[in-house]
Amino acid sequence: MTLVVGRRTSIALVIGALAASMLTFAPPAAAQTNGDATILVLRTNAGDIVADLWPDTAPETVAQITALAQAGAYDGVRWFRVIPDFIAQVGLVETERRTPATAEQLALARNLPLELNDNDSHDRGVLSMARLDDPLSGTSSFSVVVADSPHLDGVYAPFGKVRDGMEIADAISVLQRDGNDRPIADAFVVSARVVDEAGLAAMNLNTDSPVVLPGQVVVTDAAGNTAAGNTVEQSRSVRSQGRDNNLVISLLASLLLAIAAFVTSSRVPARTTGAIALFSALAAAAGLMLQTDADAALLGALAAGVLFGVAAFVTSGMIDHRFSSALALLGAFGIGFGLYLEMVPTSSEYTGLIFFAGFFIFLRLLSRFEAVTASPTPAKATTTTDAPADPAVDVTAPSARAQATISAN
Amino acid sequence: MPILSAAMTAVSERPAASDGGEQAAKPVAPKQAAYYVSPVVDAVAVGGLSILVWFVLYLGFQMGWHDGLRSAGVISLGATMVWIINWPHFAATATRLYTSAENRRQFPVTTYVVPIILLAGAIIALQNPTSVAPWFVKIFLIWSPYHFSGQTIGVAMLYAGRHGFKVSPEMRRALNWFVYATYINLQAKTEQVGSLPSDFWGVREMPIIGIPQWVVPISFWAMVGLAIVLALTVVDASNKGNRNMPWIMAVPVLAQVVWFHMVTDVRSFAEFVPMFHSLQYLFLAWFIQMSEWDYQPEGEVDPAVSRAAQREAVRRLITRTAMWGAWIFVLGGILFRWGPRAVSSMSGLEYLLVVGVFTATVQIHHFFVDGVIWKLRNPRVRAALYTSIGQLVPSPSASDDPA
Repeated sequence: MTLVVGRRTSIALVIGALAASMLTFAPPAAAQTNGDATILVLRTNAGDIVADLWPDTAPETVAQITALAQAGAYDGVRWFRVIPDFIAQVGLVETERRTPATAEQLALARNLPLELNDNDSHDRGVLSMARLDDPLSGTSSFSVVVADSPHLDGVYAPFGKVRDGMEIADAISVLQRDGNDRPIADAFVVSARVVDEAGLAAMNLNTDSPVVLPGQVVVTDAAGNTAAGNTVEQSRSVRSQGRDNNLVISLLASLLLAIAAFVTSSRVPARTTGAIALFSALAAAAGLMLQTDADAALLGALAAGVLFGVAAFVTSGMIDHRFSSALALLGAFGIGFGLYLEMVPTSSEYTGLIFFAGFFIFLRLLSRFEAVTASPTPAKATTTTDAPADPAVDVTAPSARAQATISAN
Repeated sequence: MPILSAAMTAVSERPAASDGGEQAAKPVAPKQAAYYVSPVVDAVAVGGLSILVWFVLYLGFQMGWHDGLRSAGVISLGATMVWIINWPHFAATATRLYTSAENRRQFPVTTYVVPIILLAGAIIALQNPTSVAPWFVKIFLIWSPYHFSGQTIGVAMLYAGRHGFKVSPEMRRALNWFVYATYINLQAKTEQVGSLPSDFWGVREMPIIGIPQWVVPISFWAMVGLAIVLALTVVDASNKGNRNMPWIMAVPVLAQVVWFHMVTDVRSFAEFVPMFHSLQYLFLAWFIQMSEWDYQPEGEVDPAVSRAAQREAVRRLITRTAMWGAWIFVLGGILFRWGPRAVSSMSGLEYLLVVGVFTATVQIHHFFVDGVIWKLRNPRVRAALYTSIGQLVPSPSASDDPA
């Protein structure tokens, strides 16, 4: 008995050790110290940003940034990715210049080692080297972190910190953007140079008054006052203007009804499923009428919702209920995607979470679809009494079933 | 045909649990084999090899033998293994569905409707390479680890069944929650706000979903908590059944943790994760396919096996394996390499774009098909899932020994 308990405990310990091992993935937290600094001056068309570089912390990164800046490689590079309360990112010299870089400039953009330090801390104002999945893929793109971002610590290499001009970085980070976080206004670096204190003193810089950029949305408040969308609040206000609550509500209703049609399809008469699907289609149609923007993707998603809903209704009394339920599920997915597209322009930090949660629910529902399709006469018609929802390899109550099979021999 | 019941007697490993004294007076029913081949071989195939490879790579990385990155050599090796294992595993699924009239009849939506819809999606994606294609591929990429998770749970439960271990509803739920928690945490990390868009073959700049960063630590700690809950339910189920959980049930679960989370320690390992998933799949699929070809309805089996019959079984098994292997190898090449090349040549579309969209299409179809063709309501599937090497190549009976 002692042995039995010991082995069980061992299993528990193995899993416990697994849990403990995961602790090693917890993000570290530490403080950043500033080393000796040369000074990077980013003159942008939105204003100027002055940053101290950290050659002691990230020597190779600083050397390469300095070489690129002195060669004029950053001149004309766009801010290609902006996310409020997170970063404003300068694009790659290789691809984001308004005019092509010279061969000499491109030759300076070599792959950098990932220069991480135990005490890295992505506080507001830190310059952080961008890269792809590959740790050695950083070349010239970097971000100005506009809000404390500890999740970047130990993942991306910080190499400097803004000493002056965070108002400009803030203004760039809240520019209105498209679905890929690219600013709609043309924001770019006019020139980037590395200077010493004397050189900095000789420059006439604008580090506190963001310039309204061409193409930048200007907000008019209720009193008729106008202002550029240059603050977080104003940017959010601009983005919220695109929200059409009625459309969202109709899409949501359609989505829920389509899911209901699918979920109930194996339990209620086919006509009932069809009726629910029809209501879903009507709700999607209402959304279609409310949609006034010529957004092809959204219109397509809405149209798919309508078509699949109607198809589910029309076919519900004619063919196997599995087809109707499958159509209803497809309608649900179409509408769900439309809902997501509708929310993208007004994206908040929850948009992605909602999309992922919706997709996860879709996958779980799909498992029900599989269970339905596996048996035209659902539930307890065979020895399989507890059809599982998810496994790719479907095994349930196996010992009893295997025993029954064996006993029959 | 004698194979089924004879093998069940021959390879039975599990002692009769909780049978009580009355079993002595009754004919003892033969029991299914606890493993397909043996504890070691099964463990290696269903995840043990991947854990071992990760450990070796991790050790090598720590010892400074290699840099842990996706070097050209690693990528080449990964590409080779894709040909041999990954692509054939997709082909095996499609073969299983479309070569069986029974499967086609039982799953008409998956057989006919899903491919049409996916084909339409693929065409639209190819026509809109910058707007639709990235989302089309993104759906596949989010779905893929979910599919891995389903297989992990399925394999663990399969071995519970083979060992006659009773999984309590609480343990089953905890297993589900933990495995899907590993999936959610993985997605939270890779799709968090601030991640960079990536390319997939010729599909450029796939969007990042943008999950808030605060979800990452929450999902991480939820995963840790659920691991503890799972451990507790395992102990509880073991106590109630008065027997230990079969250790092999833990192998696919631990493998998934390695695939999803420890891969960050050794980047080169990521190149092989799909291969290990496919290996797990092919291992089972081979047994099931071979077993189904020899399927006999219950009650029609002969317990006596002669040496001649054994030799014939081996010869048949080798022949069928060669035919099946060659077929899924070729079909895999058609689906992922030659098919895209032909489409690219005929349409003038960029080859890598076609490869990216084709790959996503075939894999999404695989996710659908895989979800339906293993249903135990089908007695063939039920019998095949509990087969073993002893059933495919039974040992001769003692009376047949020349000595």
